[in-house]
Amino acid sequence: MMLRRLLPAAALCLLGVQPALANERHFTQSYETATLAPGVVELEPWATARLGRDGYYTGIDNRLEFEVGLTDRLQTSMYVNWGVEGVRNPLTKGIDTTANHRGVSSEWKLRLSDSVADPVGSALYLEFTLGPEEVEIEGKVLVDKRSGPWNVAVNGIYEFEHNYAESIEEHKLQATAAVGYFLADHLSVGLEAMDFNVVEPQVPGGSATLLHGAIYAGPVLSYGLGNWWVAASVTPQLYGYGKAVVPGRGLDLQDFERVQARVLMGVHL
Amino acid sequence: MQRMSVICLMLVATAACTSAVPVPTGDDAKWATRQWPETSVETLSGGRSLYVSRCAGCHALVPPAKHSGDRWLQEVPRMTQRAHLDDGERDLITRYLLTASRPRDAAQR
Ligand code: HEC
Repeated sequence: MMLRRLLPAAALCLLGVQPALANERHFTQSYETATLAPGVVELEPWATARLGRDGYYTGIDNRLEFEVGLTDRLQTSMYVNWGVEGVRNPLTKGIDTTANHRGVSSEWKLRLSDSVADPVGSALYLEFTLGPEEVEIEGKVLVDKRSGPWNVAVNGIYEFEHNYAESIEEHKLQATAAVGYFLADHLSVGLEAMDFNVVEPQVPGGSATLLHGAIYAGPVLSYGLGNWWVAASVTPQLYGYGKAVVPGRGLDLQDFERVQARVLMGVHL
Repeated sequence: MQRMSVICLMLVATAACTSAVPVPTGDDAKWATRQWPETSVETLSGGRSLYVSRCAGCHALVPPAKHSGDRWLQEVPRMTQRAHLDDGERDLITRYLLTASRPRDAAQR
């Protein structure tokens, strides 16, 4: 009797747990916990389009990342960030574009448990960015689970930004979550959501207050073949909160864009 | 009643899924000693930890039960170089995978 129930359950689990090549990512905002095998190298270009802020035409952020597996559970990567922003000029009514170099980052990821073998996969992630105008430290706790055709990932993120050009400090708390379903070995579809917010610099002895925040969600698709994979998402802002939200409008378009779209690629070298 | 059995099935599915890479038991060791006389639960557990640490880097772990023993005997040598395994490590992983993927019928449980 027990066995009769177990068999279909086991079959269900086996369906769709398939190898993903070269540490394939299935989401664009949420990280999964897998790390590259020692000595394995991957090149990862990213592009993020940020569309539709108030008075804001468009922004594109690019990143080129070079990842290396160091041990069974530790991987590191270096990347460069650059972008362009186009802002509507109220005087000329034209679009002013500026290019920016956001600096060089170093990223470390330590896998603590496995998403297939253990009840949940978990990893710690640390990132340092040194730019011409700012330094940034970002820490993430990653949790994920792969079971049958399902794939779930949740990230908790803390980011500290110090802009020495303008003497501004920002604390950001973020959370992302994603659910994916494998339609075939290397094809998955899913939904991804993010909550971004910025907390005012903590005055000594005072408490931090929320400046602005926004929630995004939208579809994500990933596909891999041979030595490469690609993941893409389009996530509109669903809800804005904090000081900049215009009552009745529900969105914060002063600090956050209306839509983010991101494409990631990975090429196994 | 039907609702109960659906819930039950889901619970069982969840429990079964968490052990997609099953932890070796005494029964497993007993089965394994028929192939490799000096195999203990510890030997098999060592194989499991090697499997989890060395085979998850490039792709998600393949649950042992996905393939037959014969197929694993082809897959492991194919992956040995990729995972930089020495002969001893390959042997431990093979023992674990063959044991965990063996056909189990009601009599064996
Ligand atoms: C350096 C990367 C890498 C490592 C490490 C690695 N594999 Fe693979 N594996 C691949 C690639 C790439 C494929 C798909 C192409 C192929 O089948 O040759 C694959 C395919 C497979 C498949 C067939 C697909 C399937 O769903 O059954 C199995 C089984 C497998 N690997 C098992 C293992 C085992 C066991 C280990 C550890 C000993 C391992 N792999 C370590 C890269 C790796």
